Amino acid sequence: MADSKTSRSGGRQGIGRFLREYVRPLSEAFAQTPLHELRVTTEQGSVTLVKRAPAQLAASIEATSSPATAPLEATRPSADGMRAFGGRTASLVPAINGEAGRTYVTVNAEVVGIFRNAAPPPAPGEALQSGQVLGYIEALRLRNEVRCPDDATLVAQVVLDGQPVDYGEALFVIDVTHARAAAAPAELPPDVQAPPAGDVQLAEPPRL
Amino acid sequence: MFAKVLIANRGEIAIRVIRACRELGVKTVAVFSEADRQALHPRFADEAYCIGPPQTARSYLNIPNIISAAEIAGVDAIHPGYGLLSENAQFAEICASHGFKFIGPSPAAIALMGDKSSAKAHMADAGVPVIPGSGIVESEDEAKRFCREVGYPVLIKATAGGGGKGMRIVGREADLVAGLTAAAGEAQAAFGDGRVYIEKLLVRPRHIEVQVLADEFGHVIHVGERDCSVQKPSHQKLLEETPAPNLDPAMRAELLASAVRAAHAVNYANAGTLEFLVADDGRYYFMEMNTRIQVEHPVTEVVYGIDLVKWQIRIAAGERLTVRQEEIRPTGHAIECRINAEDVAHGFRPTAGKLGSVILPGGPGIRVDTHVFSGAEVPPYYDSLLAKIVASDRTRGGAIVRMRRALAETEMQGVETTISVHERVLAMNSFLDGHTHVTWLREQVLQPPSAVGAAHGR
Repeated sequence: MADSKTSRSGGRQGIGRFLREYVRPLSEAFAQTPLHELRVTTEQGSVTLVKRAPAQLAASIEATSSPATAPLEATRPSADGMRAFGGRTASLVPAINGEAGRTYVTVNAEVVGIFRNAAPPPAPGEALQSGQVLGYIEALRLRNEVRCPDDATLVAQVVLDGQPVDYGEALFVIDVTHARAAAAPAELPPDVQAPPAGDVQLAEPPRL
Repeated sequence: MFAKVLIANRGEIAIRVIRACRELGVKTVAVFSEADRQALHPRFADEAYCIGPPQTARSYLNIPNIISAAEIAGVDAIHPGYGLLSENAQFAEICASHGFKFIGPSPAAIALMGDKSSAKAHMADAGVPVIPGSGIVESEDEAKRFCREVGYPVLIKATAGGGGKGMRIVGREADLVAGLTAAAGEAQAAFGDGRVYIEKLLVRPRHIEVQVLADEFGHVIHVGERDCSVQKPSHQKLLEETPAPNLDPAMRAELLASAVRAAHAVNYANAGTLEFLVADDGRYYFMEMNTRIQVEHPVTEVVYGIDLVKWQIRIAAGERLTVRQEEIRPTGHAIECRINAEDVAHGFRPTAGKLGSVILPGGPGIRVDTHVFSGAEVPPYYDSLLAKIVASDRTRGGAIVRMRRALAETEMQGVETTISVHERVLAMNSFLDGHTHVTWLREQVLQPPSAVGAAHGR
């Protein structure tokens, strides 16, 4: 079973509704993944889900970039873990042998379309700058740029030129360890993150 | 015929369209939101594309992602189902401009019928009765004359109206001037526009609608009527049946002929439904036309032995309607109960969650259109329809007995459903006698009749 800590900003919606509509479906999805810990931050607040089984810590992976997808953080990186976020076609993501203590992020498709390589495509190990164009998604005769969300190092491009991509499909895996460490050292570990003022703190973990 | 069709919808209607395509030998492409990853429609289709996050505005209403998926998949046509983009004239136009046939009427017909006043004006021109309205009230004498002509009660409405503001029901002439003053004052305060008009108010009308099918060569037929008078207080339909009980045959013939005339008048093509209100004095009035397949289409399919969704696809593919009006004859009676994930005790509030055990009914005379299964998620983002149970038999009485039996077999653990209210409806004498109207459920089933009587001083 899973423990849960929940904090949320704004008090307009009842905590019951937040739990029912948000935390419950999330926790059920989480239960089906091989992940041991999951932290999600949205406009409504943040939720941390932890499975009691001991985790083999290696590194952490986040799936970001899709504006609808909240940052997800897991304490066990693997191809399986990525599949949980990337959906149907994300099983194309190869197994990444992450190093302990590093933070990997997937850059996901925000529109449905045909993926096109950048010219030239970034190479694994290449240093990437925040905002750099990594590739394109052609949709409705428009080229939508896929931009790097952060200063990072490219781990892998996981789609091929000309491949159709779904919404939310993983396109790149990047290593953002340095950027994250520099930008928000106080955010880690999630357990000690202080909720913003006015938050609702649950006295005990909800039954999930 | 098309080689491949994209279904821009979810839930049971997406599955219904996939089934029709499969039987026609047409390949299918589903689109789904992140909340529907485990849903049946992506599984049943030949291909499926995730088009966005759970919220409909960013997935099932996301026109660029839907069109892009259609381009990637290389489909010939797009079926919009009902709700969502089905009555969006702009979407129909965008489909056409990208080379996809929209399975439905022309954008012009959708736009015309989507605008209430233009629809009403066109129907009146075609000789279809519409609810009498006064035009903007200029003087008290003029208002009195109008009301005497159409008879009381009347409803005063603000031209700028909305949300019930500036609306007044007036039951007799003595109250008319006060009602006009109050409505105009309220409208002035709420909208900065005090203009009002008057409409005849129908008390306890029945909702009877007519199914039409029209091809792109000007051939129009009706496929009978449906009685959809059992409605929630929000006027959403809950139970539908065909044929309509206790409908005078001459009246029925007139309704059906009116609907065909109306479809001709707007050069309608594909499946459509004309909704009428039928007053207890036997008069009927056009309410609106739905330019799409309806939720309750299965009762018509069962009784008339016609596949409406297949015809939608065939007509869009340019085929001629080969069914003649003379062949359209009802056989027996069918009733549909909408099983919604709703808490009846709390004003039909939608409920969501993970379903436990789901047991669906079957056996003779039962058809179930659904997308749910044991363990399925009911996401909170979409409409609450879980299943449509259709019971049919040679007689209305037989269909009612079958429906009771089917509801008793049905189990939907994990969410509140409307099964209980259907069981109450099917036990009411006034339902068994076929005497329902659009406020019947609220007045006779949801509120105890004694309380209604007391409130009205009877």
